[in-house]
Amino acid sequence: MTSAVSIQTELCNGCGACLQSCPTDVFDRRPDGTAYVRYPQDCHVCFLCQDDCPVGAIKVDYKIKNNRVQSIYDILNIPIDGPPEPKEPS
Amino acid sequence: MSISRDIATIEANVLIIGGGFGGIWTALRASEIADKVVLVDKAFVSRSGASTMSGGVTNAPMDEDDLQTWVDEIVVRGSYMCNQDWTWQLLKLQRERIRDFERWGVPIVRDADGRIKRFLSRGMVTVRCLQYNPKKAMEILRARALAQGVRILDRLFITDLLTTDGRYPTRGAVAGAVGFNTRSGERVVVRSRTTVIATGMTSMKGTHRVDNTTGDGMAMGYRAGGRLCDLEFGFGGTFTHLMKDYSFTNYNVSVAHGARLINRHGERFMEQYDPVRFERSELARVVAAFTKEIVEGRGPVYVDLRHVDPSYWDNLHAVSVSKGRNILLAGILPDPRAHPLPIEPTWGLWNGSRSGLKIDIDCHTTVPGLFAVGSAAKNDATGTHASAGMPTAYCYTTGYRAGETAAREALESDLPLVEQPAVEMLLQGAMAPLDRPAGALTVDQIHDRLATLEASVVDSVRLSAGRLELFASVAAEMRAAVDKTKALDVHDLVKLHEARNLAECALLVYQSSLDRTESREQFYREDYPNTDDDAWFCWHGVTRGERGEPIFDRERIPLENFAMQPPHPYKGRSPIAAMMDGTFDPAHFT
Repeated sequence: MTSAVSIQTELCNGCGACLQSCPTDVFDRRPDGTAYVRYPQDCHVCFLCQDDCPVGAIKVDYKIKNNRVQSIYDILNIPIDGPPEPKEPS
Repeated sequence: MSISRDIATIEANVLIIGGGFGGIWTALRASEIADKVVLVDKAFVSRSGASTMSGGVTNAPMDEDDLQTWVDEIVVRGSYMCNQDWTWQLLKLQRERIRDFERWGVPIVRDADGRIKRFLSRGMVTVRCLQYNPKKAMEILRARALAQGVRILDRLFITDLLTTDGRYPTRGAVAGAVGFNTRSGERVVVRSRTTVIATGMTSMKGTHRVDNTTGDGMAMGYRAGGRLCDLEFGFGGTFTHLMKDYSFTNYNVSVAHGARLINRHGERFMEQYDPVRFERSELARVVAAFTKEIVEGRGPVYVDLRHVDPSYWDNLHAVSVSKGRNILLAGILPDPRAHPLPIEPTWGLWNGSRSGLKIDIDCHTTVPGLFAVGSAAKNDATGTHASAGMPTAYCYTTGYRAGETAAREALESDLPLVEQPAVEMLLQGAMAPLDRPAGALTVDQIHDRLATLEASVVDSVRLSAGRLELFASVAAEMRAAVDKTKALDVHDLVKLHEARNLAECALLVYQSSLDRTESREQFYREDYPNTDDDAWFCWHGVTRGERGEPIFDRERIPLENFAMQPPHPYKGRSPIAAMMDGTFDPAHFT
């Protein structure tokens, strides 16, 4: 499946910071010690791993669809194209 | 990796389950009084749960404040449904905790003169908040706890409480807990003189991007015989999504700095409901107004940040939990300083301390040996309305008070005896899903299904017997599915236990909602639109019967013990019912 979090293996130094950091435990280690995303479906896009990785090997992507949330604008088929012309404050 | 079949046994004076703000403050205070303080968390303390990921807002009473005016506002806003002794205690203890934060170097937003910068709490015109970096705060508190000798066990998932008689509900006392390491599967038995539940709030996975606050403590406390309170007020939410897909994490702070909500015509629609506080009104009223705009064809609704105080943007950088997480700083949206952005709320199981285990002034639950703190406990300080910053303040102050009480009582008691067959049965039950054949559903499918209960904010704001019965049937179905679902590995096993706890909590919330045949503040039933103080001015409890059935009760609020008295019993339209049927008069609902 498409994951919101990814690791550039060639940058990973095997420190394990991401394994410590992740609240939902999405990472594991390969035999060589490098980290990989074992449970991609459990990433809750908190960005803690991205910040805690000392070598910048982790990227979290906002744009992956969260299948457990449905926008009310989609449910009710309300288009959201373009902001309104806001009235000046009363 | 093979799964460990080992069992580790630990003895504690104070066992604390959950390492967010409630748990860590319990540990800090308890370890000043007693040794053998054990703090366990299913993730890593300082990277777990809602505390680290919170909006970084807490109530900030300071020396110069007249606390009587704060108490007045909190009690009135909470419809007099609080324990006023707790309101006083919270403010006094919180004032000390703010001093601790300053002394320990927690990053707090300050003004140009270096003083703590405070702003009005959403929902209030007197009570004030401050803004700080919650992740840094948790890191500092963790380091202090370790320095004070607290034994922290990360990645330990507690499945159930131990009881002295091996019964659920117990007629004896709580005597510790059992669980397993979330990586190795090693089983752990913690025998403890006192046990504190600090597992935070209850919310479905996926809906708030804090996917491990699954009601574990509320559920296990209830199973052991603890009394839960006001569960129907656990329906909650806030404005969490920008442009449909992006997480917006600081509604309270943004509206405190001048952010507005406008509809597709550019109208600031909250003006008709609350011309004083506007978007800073009670969240339920703002969410109800949102749904009315949407349903009546004036959507989308936009958050308009063009007029916010310039300090808002500076502070976003200063207290952002992570560089990437704050969508307003990420550079991938239209410029929020120039363009209003489509926004929407979630509304559902998100109790945030408005409901939970009922505790007394010293944080005892109704079960001997068991305490509860933070969002796993019902917030007795605030009644029906928890303004911005109050849930975290309740975490700090219940933690501090529970740590003190639990440690002192532990030092005066013997280690409770437990029945070994009961311990073995709990351990066996905890691991049983690993050895089960595959069922009809996977654990992820169970969480998917539970999340659908909150799919539509329009439905979950407007409850009715029909909707609640449907929700309850799905929760019951998923609870039954848990017992037939295989855990593929230990990671899966954690999520299966979380599903069990979530389904049990959700079912109780819906049953409790069905039992309350009225509407009151954020709780709105279309089929019972009136507030009825004669029948429902009470604390609405539920305990588990001998056959597992919920037993509801109504506890009279002892107003005679408190200084502030409500003007008169109210019978009539609830504020949200009035909003929905167009009879809302802002002068009537202050």
